[in-house]
Amino acid sequence: MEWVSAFIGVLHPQVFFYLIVGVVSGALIGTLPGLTATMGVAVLTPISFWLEPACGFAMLIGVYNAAIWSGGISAILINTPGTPASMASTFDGYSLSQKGMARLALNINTVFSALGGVFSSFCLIFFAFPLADFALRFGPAEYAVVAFFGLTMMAAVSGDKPVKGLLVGFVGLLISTIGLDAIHAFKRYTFDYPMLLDGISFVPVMIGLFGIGEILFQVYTNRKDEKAEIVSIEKSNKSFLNFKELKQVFPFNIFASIISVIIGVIPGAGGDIASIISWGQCKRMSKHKSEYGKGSIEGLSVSCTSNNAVIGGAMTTMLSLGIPGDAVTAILIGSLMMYGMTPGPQMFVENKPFVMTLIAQLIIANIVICIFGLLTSKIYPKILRIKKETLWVSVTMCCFLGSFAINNSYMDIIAMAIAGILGFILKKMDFPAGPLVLGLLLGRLLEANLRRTLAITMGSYSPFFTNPICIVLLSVSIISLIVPAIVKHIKAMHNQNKQ
Amino acid sequence: MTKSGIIFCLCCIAAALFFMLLALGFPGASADGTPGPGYFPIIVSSAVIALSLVLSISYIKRKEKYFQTNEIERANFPTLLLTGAAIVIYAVLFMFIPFVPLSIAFLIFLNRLYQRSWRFNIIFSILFTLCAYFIFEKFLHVML
Repeated sequence: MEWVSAFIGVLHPQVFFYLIVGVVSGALIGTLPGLTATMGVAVLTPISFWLEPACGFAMLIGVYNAAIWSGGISAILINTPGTPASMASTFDGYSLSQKGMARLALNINTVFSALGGVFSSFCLIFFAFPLADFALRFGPAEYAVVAFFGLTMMAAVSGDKPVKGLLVGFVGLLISTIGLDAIHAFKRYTFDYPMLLDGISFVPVMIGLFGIGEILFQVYTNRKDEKAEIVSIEKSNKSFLNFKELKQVFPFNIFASIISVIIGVIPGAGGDIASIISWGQCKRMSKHKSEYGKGSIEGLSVSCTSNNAVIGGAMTTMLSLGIPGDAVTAILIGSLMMYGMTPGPQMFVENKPFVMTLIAQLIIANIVICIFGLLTSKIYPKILRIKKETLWVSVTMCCFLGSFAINNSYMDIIAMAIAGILGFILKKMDFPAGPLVLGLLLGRLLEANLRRTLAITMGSYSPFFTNPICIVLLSVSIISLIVPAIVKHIKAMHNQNKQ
Repeated sequence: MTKSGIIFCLCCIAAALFFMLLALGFPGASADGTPGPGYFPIIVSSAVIALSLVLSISYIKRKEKYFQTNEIERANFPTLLLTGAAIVIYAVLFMFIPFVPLSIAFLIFLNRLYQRSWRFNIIFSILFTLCAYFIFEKFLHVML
């Protein structure tokens, strides 16, 4: 019955309207290369604060899902992924469209992205509630270790640069100490500025890093002579798969969905990693290996499914443990906090109807995406003709407006501008920006629970080494930090031996 | 340009030292063993310093190069600088000059910088600013 009312709540005209607004905005953001889902959600988050929580979140969920799905559109039409999550869609999508099957490729992208999204939403229903039930047993020590685990995972998945990821994450932790401390309310690094008492606001930093930072980087690396060739979809005759083809691709898509949900659960591992791994695994298992990368329907459907299937996994850790699965869920945690809700097991007790509404929004958003995507496939080549300079100017203004709109604070504008420049420097120096946001977000959780634990134990660190949950999580954290270094070392040795 | 990587690490070390030195002046742990407000910043600053040192050593050992610019980036550098400067100036002036004239001027400057035609520039800047003003000030009640 609770689920029925959650779904009815999402279909309320006002909530549904904002969900559609989110899907349309997300479709636009994802289609245009350079505008990412993270940037879209970051820029639109401040606007959502002016709405009812259900309406605000309907919009953000719509943007998140639609931007990930529509990232595949530019991957198919101009061989440039609209968002990093669609990288694997370029492998087969562009080849298919060059064979005159652009419309088929776009429809595969729409239907399988939506299927992946719905599948992962059901996984969220099945796993988030038991996980939250289990996490209800957590005390401060376990929470401190969970926060630490989140940080180390982010560093571990920073590709070949775990030290850089860790350094940036710790800088984020350091910034999170500005303001009143969580235990004694002592003023730290405020220099008597009342604006700094609440600490550095998370949303403007996020907008600056992912919005302004990205624009500055694009301005710097812009090739003026570059013009993407947009494949026409007018010539396409076949618009969707037949029953035999559907039967052939279906098992691979189920497999890809399962892999992607698991990858989504790992903090920091996003759609790009999931779709590449799923595509590679399915290629290995397929009877038509040689077709992969040359316009394989199977390959494209698998990569599209994976993009959106990650979302449910990322939302599972976000909702049940309060640990962001990726940069977008990190912003969503910030938004929930702004609404007075703290993601984590307690949210499943205090705000259970809202958790159900969020999951219902995810499922309905994917259904809306499927219908909207199939109906609008003809207009995307036109959207891709918008000049990037127009986007830079528009996004820059949106970043300023969004940052100011949260608290009507000039401090937020300044923080956003500084974060933007920092975002550019980090990107130019090949540092991942995600851990900085994660550090900023998890800093207070980590510090408050670490100090609470030490207060309870009179300064003893023993719970971290005697509590089974802490031992397991700490071990996984340490393994996740060590394993990439060992693998890298083995690979280097292997390469040396080959030479 | 291994130097720029090291300079970045040195900046991190300087910031961490600043945080650490101030944290050393915060009240200490209470009698029951509860750590004081300086406990966490000191640990984190130490980690930042240690990681920066590790990274600096790896830069020196592997001679990693950053901020190496190609021809396109060199050509775009003045545009980047002007964009960055415009963003900073707009952020500073935001609290002193009313939103509409400031934003129109900002957009005209950026559009001109990106070599858009005057006709497009003026129409876009005015329409975009007015739409933004209407949505945020009148609809969302943001005090622009």
